[in-house]
Amino acid sequence: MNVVVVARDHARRQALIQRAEEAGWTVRADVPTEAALSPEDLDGVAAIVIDARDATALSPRAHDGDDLIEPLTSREHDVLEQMAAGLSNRQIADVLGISEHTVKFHVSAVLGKLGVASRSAAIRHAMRQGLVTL
Amino acid sequence: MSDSLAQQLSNDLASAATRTAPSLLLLRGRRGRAATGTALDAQSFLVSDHLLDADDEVRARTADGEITARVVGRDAGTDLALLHAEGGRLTPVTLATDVVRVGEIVLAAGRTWTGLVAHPGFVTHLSGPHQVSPGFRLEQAIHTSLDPFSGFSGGALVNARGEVVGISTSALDRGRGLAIPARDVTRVVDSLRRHGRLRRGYLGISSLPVALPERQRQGSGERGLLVTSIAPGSPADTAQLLVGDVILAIDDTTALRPDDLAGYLSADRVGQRASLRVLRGTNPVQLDVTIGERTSDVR
Repeated sequence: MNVVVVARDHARRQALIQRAEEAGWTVRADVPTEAALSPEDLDGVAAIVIDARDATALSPRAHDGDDLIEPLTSREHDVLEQMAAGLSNRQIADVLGISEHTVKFHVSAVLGKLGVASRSAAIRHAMRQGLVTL
Repeated sequence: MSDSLAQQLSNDLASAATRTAPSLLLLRGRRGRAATGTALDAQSFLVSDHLLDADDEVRARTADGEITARVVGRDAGTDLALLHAEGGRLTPVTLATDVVRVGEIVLAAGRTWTGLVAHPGFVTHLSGPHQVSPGFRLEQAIHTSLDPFSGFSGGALVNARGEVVGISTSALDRGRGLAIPARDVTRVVDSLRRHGRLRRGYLGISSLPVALPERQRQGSGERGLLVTSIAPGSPADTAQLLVGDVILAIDDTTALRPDDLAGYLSADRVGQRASLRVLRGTNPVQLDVTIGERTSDVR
């Protein structure tokens, strides 16, 4: 069985290749380490072995978010607006008159709903989707 | 006996690291992580916004002691925060004047609890411009062969001469590392210094991209931005824009996506007059608007 091994970390890639070969698989060594596989790379390939640490990066949710899974509540929207204005959690807490702890809670809900991992990604996503007031 | 090329390269990189070291500071970042600071002048330094926990005062370790600094301004969109150390005697980095080239050997330098760290790599590609927040366009992002490490974010990307070509961050590209070029960093720092934040223009609307049916098109293409809300008292409100209007263009910028509008509303537009080309039903309407500034009542 022809397989491709995908791992951004060189050492982990080597370890995965070894285990795949031990399992009797033929590892295609001529394809790139990164996740960006072209259709040519997958010619005659039966399986792709992905480093568990990279797997999250490959899932659609980790991408900069194409769709909104669940609509934001109006409070989450308020928080998102302030995030886009560049405010820190404490500043947002001051502006909205809520505790910093509550802000943190809303921020992680916003990141989760937008399917992004960071504040900066949330801002970019929200801007593109027209979620923030311009 | 003269040094081999490999030895010369090794010497150059080691010198570059040594030259940068005095300009790098160490802070206790969010969740106890090491956060590197990069000194820009005797009293100010940059930190990665996503690692900066405190909002007012922070303690930072320099090459020869501890200092107290306060946050001047921060911006999550570019992941940069500017701090000021009153009476500080920091050693500033030397910013590279040349544009970084693909293929160049660079060092990502930072600090962790154990001391100086520097990882060598190559500039693999340059990308941009990127609209990273409403009103701020990053002209370029420097991508390297380097994976982020402890102390990476907020640290300096240094060329073989020991000049800083950019500030490293892991927060802008899904955990991968990149560097914001010195030129963009300077623009952000100027704004943070002057306004405490990245200034941005403001109309006061939310909008959605829409496709226009044939009979509604006004010789201006088939797309526009449907106004879905108008903030009371905002510039758009004053200009008598209505919910349901479709924005076709603002000045010469065709409004196809909210991104286009976000790109238009850069800091230098604040206070400027602009002309909105709008479709109201099937009637073309021209509205004059004065671009406001997006502010929050931060105490």
